[in-house]
Amino acid sequence: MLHKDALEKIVGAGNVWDDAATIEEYSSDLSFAPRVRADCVVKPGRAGEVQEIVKWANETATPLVPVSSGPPHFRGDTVPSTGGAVVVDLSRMNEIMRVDRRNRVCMIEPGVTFGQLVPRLAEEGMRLNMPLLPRGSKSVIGSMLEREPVIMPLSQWDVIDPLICIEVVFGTGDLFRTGSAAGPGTLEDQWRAKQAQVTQMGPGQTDFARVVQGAQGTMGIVTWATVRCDVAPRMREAFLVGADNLDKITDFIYRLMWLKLGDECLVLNNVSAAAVLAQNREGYSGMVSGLPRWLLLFCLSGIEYFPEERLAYQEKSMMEAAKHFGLEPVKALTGVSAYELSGTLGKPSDRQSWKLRQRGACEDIFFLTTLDKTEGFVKVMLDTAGRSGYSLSDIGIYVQPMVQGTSCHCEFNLFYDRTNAGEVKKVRDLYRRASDALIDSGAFFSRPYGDWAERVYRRDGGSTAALKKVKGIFDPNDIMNPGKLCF
Amino acid sequence: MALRDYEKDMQRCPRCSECKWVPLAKIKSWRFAQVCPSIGRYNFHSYSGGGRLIMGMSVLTGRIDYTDDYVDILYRCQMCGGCDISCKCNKDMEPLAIAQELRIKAVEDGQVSPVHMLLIDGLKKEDNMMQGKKADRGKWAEGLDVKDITQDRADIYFHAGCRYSFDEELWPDVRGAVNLLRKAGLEVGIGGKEENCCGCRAYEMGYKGELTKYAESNFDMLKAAGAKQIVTACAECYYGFKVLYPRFLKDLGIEVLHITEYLARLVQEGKLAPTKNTPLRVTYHDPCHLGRLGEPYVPWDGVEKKVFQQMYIYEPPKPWRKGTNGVYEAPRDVIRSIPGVELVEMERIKEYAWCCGAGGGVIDGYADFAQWTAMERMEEAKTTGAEAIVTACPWCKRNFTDAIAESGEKLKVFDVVELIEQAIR
Amino acid sequence: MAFSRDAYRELEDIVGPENISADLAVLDTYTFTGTYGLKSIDARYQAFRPEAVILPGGTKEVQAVIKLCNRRGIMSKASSTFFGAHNTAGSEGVVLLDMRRMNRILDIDEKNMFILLEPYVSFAQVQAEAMKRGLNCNIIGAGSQTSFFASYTSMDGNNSQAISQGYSGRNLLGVEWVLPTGEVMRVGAPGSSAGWFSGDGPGPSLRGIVRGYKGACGGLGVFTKCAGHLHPWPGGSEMEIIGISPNYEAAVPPLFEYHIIEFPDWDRCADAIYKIGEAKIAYALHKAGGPGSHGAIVTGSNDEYWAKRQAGELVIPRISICVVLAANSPGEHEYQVKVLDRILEDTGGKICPVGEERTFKNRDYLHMIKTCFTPRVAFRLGGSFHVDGIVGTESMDNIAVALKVDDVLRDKYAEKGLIMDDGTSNAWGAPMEDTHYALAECGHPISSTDETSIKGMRQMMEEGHALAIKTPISLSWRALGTGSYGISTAEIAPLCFDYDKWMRKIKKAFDPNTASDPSTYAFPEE
Repeated sequence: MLHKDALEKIVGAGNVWDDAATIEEYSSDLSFAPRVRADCVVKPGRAGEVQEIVKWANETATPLVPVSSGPPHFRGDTVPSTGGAVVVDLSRMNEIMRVDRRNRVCMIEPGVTFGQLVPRLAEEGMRLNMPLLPRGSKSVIGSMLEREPVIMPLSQWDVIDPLICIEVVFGTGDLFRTGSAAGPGTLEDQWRAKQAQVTQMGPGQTDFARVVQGAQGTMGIVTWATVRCDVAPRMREAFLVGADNLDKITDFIYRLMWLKLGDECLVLNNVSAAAVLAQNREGYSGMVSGLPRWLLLFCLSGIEYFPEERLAYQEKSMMEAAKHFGLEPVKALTGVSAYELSGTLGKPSDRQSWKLRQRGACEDIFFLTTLDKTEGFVKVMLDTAGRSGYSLSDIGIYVQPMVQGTSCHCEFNLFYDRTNAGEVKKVRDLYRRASDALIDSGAFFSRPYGDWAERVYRRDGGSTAALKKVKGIFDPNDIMNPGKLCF
Repeated sequence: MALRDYEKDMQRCPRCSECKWVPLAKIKSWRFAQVCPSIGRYNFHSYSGGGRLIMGMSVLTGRIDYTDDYVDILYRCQMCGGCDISCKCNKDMEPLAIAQELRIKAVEDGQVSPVHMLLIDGLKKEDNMMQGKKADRGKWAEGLDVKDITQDRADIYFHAGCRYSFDEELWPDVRGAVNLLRKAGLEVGIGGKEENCCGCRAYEMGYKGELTKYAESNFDMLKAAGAKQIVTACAECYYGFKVLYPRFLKDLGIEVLHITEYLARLVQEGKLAPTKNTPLRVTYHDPCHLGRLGEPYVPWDGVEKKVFQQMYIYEPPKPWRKGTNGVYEAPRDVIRSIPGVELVEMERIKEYAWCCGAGGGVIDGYADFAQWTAMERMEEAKTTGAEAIVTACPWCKRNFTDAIAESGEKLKVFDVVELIEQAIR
Repeated sequence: MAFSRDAYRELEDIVGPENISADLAVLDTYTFTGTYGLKSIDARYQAFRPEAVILPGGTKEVQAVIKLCNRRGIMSKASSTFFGAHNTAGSEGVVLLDMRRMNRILDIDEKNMFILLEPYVSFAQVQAEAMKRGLNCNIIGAGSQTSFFASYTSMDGNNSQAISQGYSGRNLLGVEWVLPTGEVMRVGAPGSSAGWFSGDGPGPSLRGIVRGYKGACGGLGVFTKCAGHLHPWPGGSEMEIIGISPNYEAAVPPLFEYHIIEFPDWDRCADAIYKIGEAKIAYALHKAGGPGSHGAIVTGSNDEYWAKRQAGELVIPRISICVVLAANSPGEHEYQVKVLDRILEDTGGKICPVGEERTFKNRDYLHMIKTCFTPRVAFRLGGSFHVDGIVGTESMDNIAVALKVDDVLRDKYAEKGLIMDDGTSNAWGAPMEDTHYALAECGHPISSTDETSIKGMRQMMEEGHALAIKTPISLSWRALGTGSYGISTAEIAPLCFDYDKWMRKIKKAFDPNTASDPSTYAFPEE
């Protein structure tokens, strides 16, 4: 009651909820994070309100849990870890502030979703380097702050991309802007001088945006961001490559990266591919057995100038490379059209998340590695699953080359029925064992959600100690999403 | 010129560190990217060309006085000119000249290396840098029956040099040089025991007076002999006659040639014909004083002036010695003319060759440093797969030979002369 | 605390007597600086001599030195090549760590395109080894003799190949870091023993503390290993260099192009750079003049440059760029050429005949890819160059604004005779990452031995700085600590959300004993 009154003074009546139903919605998600109820949910409408909320939270020692995407949530980072928290839901801050075709950038608030932004960018002849099939209600900034892997690796020059500058309210209540957005000059001054907030680093000798990214809301709350965009292709050709052996595909991908060929480029195993493609559960099983064990999807494009000729030389080079590796890129495979699939991937999912469609729930295990080591980690996963009695045909795998091929995101999708207690137990068990086995084998869990945090930070004492110092700077009163990471 | 004349150069040093590396365009690997043995071995910036320049400025401006390390740093340098060429590739500066002036000033100020002092004493007494007796100087030529230039006229004066005169192990090379010239039908005269040091080595140690003394004396002797050409098989002596004498004295008016230049001519003219098959894979080491330092000296007396408001040029234009016109091809032509010999190149060659380690008084005063430098070169030679390293200077050959003996390496060392001599029946 | 003989002895025991010196002759070579610290000719020696210079041989020795510094209240600063005033001691009582002995390349991961190395490996060495493996690195403007490691972890770095390879700090992956307190940690994947391919995580990225736009320049401990992203190189395994110093050349390979292109105005030049970036066709691109000009680059001495200019040769148009295209196939090459031609048609660009002459082309191409032109042009022309305060990294359009502003400023000071004026616009500019952003650094050759020129440059810098703030141009990246580099953090930070406040907190948290020289980073928060 006290919280609600105080918060309503900041954000206005009608923007704070403390009813049971609303609280319940935010108290858990589809992860194994324990259910913890917040005291209330507040929805600020502008950065000034966010700042006041954070200052108030410092004064009252109230934990804040920032949320920007609509449900469902998967990672546990938006569920309070401690009681007495206030959920700060940023969905009201959903303005697309600027779209700048010339500089290939947009400026958005945290509540802007993929469903909102993608069509708006398309109007300007642009597109976003997106994660794989985000739900329409997913916050774009939320996704980028989580360092979700994006599907066009050659457009990703650094792991922070496509995030550029941010405006953030640190846990201290200070408002800050990063990169070239910091100044000199107001945003209006900068725009008058034709700036577009496109320099990511700094200001000065600290890369502040990088400290906020990956922090699961423990350092501050972002109130807008500039996001790098790509030019939409004039023409596109999509290809599928099927193989039994992942190493062959990864060698081919290395070559594509070196030749700087292609936009979208990702690998799915038959299980995850079927999950993405199947229209319904009935179609899913048939697809799993019909698809090759591994499926690489990549696209070539023609852009502004002489698009056909660009496509032509790229396709020729690509085919030569494929031949060298004994692979045959095709436009369709076992009834799957590469073009249609790539079209699907260019938009947020307009249906229920592909991870939930088949069995109703999915637990993901993901980490970073390099393409050449991925096969080894797949073996670890499958060995662990086998020993756990888990059906290997229920394990989806998604491999996403990143940062122009220098690393990759490797993800195992454990599809299961949440209503089946036996399956839940099995998945939880496998999740723990496999995570341990993968960490011990050298997988880099760079995004340590939930239980991973304790394992990961135990291994990396140096980072733990350093991050605690950083936390002490940007959130000295530990009010920002406490209980996450190593805080 | 005196040290103060280089004050602007010292002020202009951008401290960019180019002086430590081979000219940047020529770097081919991580391993063989450096050009300066001094900083390569001792690591502190003061040991680089730029470092000595700064040290010199500190002394010149009175910021510091001579320190123990100053003298050590100054003399742990082969004066090879590697820093000079690399710096000059991209800048109009004179790092080597400054290093030279620092030594001259140090000697004037009594800051000398004790070992160098010993050598100079020997020079003053016996007219050589090898601590040998003057009377023994001509022994290398015994039995050769060659003209004495102090008694007879000869078109070609062959100057053996101190190292060849007193290092008996190397006598076959110097004798071979004379024999080859005579085999080509040329009339050669030598100084024998009347030959004096060229003065070059003493100059590089900082003893400018010794250079001018010997230059004058040698000049008089040559004039009296009516020689038209000076030929030497020692790269340092070549540098002395070709570059230092015209610089400090006057143009001798006599053509100065290194033996390899002459041999290349003779082979080309068909007057020498290497015909014996000599199957051997070799790599050639460019002696500093023949290569980058051996390009001719062109007198210049001009001033610096500004154009484009703040760009400095020289009027008249300065004939920069940036290593462009050193003697690089003649020795290679001679080697290539030998049937069966395969010449493979090291990474650091010609104007950016790594020094053998002997120059600047280092082989005398800092033997371990000289050896370290030579071993670096051996490592580089080995990467070519060569069975032998070939050079054209007795100081290089001596230092390589000693290094190989010390280390047990299997690489052979030849002089160009001995290689071609083997192939001529 | 004064530096004591005991401290010296302890340091000597750590690194060995050969690897430490407090001799004045040695110390002065670490006090003298080149181009920066523009005060007067006499100020080439910075204000403070270090107490000693130490050459550590490995991470353990670095750690031991830093721990000793903490214990004894001594400050330290590490550097690789010590190029620039920011590398000198910022106050009394500083020991300098010369990282020269830590000079190994530890691994080149060809497939994943990154290199793992120690501090004293030069760009030239990295490039030579990378090219053997079909890879390349962006040789930064400071020159290929500078340290790849220093640029990636501790300073900045951009140059002509940034359009296809990006900015050095954004190519940084895993890092090994001896903290200012002496502990060792590894940033990113190596901290989890997972390899060196990533420098971000777990969780928030400590790469953001390691460096921002600029690095900490020795003010936040010592980095002892790092991994850096390399990029594809379509050329041969070794660039074939012909000629003898100073006239080196490299023939433009088949499937490559090199051109100097002139534009009628900066706006159309910016248009073209945007389009070239979007089309993803350029391998290297920068503004053709600056510092100095490409005409100077292709000559072996100032005398030669002057003579050729008197004969009407080597004139580079004021508004021009230099571009290199590099293709993997004939089809790609044909496409790149066709697109470039069309872009020039659309933007009024013209290929300049001066760049088509074979010798010019081959010499300048070499500089665009391999050697960079800073040593030759920045230092040879007048002896020094300096940036006039108009510096920015932002959109290409904002950079065009900056260049227009600089044109006026440049002419004003050229008319006064204070800077070199060979008719070219000596400002430096390079687009980055397919022109998603760009940089301008308006530098001008000056005489380093003429007090009037130096003072004039200082005035120009102040005036330019004021213009940059007024315009505005995004210049915070240029600020470094107390300003030995030109602009101090204190001057800029208040205009940029007081970012120095956070840097001071970081300094205090990570360096409670101020064991790392704060002068090029931040003094700890009181």
